[in-house]
Amino acid sequence: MLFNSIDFAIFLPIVFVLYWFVFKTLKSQNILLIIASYVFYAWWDWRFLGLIIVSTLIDYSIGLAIDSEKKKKSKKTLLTLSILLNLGILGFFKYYNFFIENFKAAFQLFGRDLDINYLNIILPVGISFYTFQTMSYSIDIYRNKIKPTTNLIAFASFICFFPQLVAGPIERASSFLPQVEKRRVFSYAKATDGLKQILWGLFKKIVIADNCAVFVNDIFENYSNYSGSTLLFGAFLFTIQIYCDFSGYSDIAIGVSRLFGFNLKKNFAFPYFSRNIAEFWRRWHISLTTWFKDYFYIPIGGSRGSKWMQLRNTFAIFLVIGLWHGAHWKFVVYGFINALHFVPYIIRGKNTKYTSIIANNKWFPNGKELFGMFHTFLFLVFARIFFRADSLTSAVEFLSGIFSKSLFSLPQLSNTTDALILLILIIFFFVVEWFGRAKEHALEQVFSKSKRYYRLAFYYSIVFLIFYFNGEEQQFIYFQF
Amino acid sequence: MKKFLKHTVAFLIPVLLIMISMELALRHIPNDYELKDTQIELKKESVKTLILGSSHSLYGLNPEYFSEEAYNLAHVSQTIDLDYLLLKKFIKKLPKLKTVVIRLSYTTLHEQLDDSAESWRQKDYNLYYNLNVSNTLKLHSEVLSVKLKNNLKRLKSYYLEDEKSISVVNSGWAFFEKQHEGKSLEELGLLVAKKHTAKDNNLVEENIEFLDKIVNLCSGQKVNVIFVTLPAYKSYRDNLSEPQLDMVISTGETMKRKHSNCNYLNLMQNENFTSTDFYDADHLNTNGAKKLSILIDDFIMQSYN
Repeated sequence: MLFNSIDFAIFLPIVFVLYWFVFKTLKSQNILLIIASYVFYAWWDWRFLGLIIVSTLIDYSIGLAIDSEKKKKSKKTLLTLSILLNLGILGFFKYYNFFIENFKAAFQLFGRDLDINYLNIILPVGISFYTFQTMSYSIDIYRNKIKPTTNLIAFASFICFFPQLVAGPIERASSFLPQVEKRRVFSYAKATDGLKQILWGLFKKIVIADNCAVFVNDIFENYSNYSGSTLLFGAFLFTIQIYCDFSGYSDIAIGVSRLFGFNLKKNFAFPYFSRNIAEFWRRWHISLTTWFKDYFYIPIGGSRGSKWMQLRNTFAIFLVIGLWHGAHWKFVVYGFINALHFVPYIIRGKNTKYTSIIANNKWFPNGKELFGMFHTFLFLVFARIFFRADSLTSAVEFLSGIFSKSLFSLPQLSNTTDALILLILIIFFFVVEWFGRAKEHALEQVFSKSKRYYRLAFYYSIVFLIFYFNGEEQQFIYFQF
Repeated sequence: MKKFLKHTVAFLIPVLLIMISMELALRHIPNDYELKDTQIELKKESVKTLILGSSHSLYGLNPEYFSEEAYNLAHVSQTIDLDYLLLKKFIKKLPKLKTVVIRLSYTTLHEQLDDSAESWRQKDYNLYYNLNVSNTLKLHSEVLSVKLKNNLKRLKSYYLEDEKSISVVNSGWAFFEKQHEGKSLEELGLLVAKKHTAKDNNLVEENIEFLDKIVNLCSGQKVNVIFVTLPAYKSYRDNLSEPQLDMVISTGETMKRKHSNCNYLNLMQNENFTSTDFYDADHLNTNGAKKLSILIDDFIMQSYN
């Protein structure tokens, strides 16, 4: 079920009413959440529900077993088993054909043909998200950071909680399990704020991302027919699209969770206002980057040791993040480019320079900040070509298409009026985000202190824009991961 | 909680009221689908030839030039799965039906409406033909399936500007008087051919099954089927992918060999059609439609009478 579908618009109020008015005990509310989450997932494909249930049972049992074991070695064996099982499932569905393809290519280099067939595998939606969530649970128990839960219903609710099941934020047991195990109390302020965040998420997805997609799809699919300036425009729009698509999803997920009394992790902290690439990665897909930081980067050494070690670890984490996005070399290259951009900051020790928000308590950034923001954004426009292109070859051809004489011509667009309207909407979007940059989400700030009528007029305008530009339901980009 | 529910409902009521009013107003606007559903019911006792297909058939086959009563049930972007559903709905209601003419275009085997950018058009089959082509709730509503921007335009043009909302005549045919203004036939041919070239063959097997189902359905009612690959302008033909085109032609020929009630006409390169017969590179104008309709009618009269 998509957040931007009518099905969800009906599903959500039904679950909300049942949750607060019919199922009033903690246990029954958690059971309702599990059922609702399974229905939500099965709407897409019921066959893969089994995988979620298997993942849940594996880590629930292994978590308890790790805790009850006294010997360190046995604990480690159990943890290894959990990781192998989780990565095994993920690896099979996500990377099987990729590895076969590369094995075949490697063997061919030595003049041997490997006789292994590709499999027609469908990637289950959300597998990369919930697998990471279950794995972190077992790892945290092994590290004595949390105690395992003995409540299977609470654990299953933690794994399958529908707002964040298919595209995150990737929650940690340490922050989410206590919320599942404790009775939730309805909060008017939290719920209304949740609705505002949902509204802004829908605006980002339907108005900005989906309308960017119309141009982006055409330009990336027919890149050989377009001028350099058109290709650059396409890459620019994709940079906007992917942010609005994914952060829009996260906004809706967090907003919906608030309606049920839960707090999810902030997943995006206005990343396009970052002054360098290091700051960007602290603000982009936070639940994933912190996951890799805690369970991969720090265990391999993190920022401890020499500059050389820091660089090695940075490249390692970015290559893994790249590969997490999909079984494709283009994602590896995407990770590599990002790591490469980190190098000068690590060498000069400036990778942790910006930790507070840009232009704090000021209306506008200074020249240096503005330049940093522009340069980071421009870098992302080019790096994301590898992310969006169909293959590595297409990405290189796309890039070389940009750097041609036609870069200085006017972009050739199928509908110039629509493109101009979209640009105006993008400007409006950035203005709202700029004013809300110090908050959890943009609408928390904008018009929040204005008179009720102005506030309502603003919200109705957003609703109008959502309906006005609502077109074909486009899947969320991160569903494919 | 009470306060929250009260405020949320109060906020949503105006939105819902506007949506319901718009839905009613939009459904009240006459449209091609509703008209065809009504017209074919009126003519059901006399229709002997039924034309199905996409815009190629819609603009290219004019029932007026058929010797016996014909009806054009084609629509823009109508794909073979929908041709089948329409035929299934009407075949038993048409006692005199002898021939079904269906386009077998370059895109026929590779597309389904559900899988295309025009999937919103499914709502017309749900709402006006009662076909239930999609279970998606959105596609059972005018307001939810089409952008507000486009719906406002429709409302304005019908209610305020008194413009016609029907593009077809009573026989189900729609027409282009002259030629496309703007791009030349050469430019259009290249553009459209590229757009029509499929990326994969995922739907081919399923669509061939639909062709078989159509022929078998007709066979059960002793109705003949003629698959037609319609004339196309040179610039379009020259830019098509050969394997995709070959697949279409060989499928047409296979259907003819396999089924005794089936014929296939490949008119893509027919020399009788010149640039003055085309609206754009792959659609005929009124002249072209006249020529093609007479040609098909001759074929029907010679083959089946």
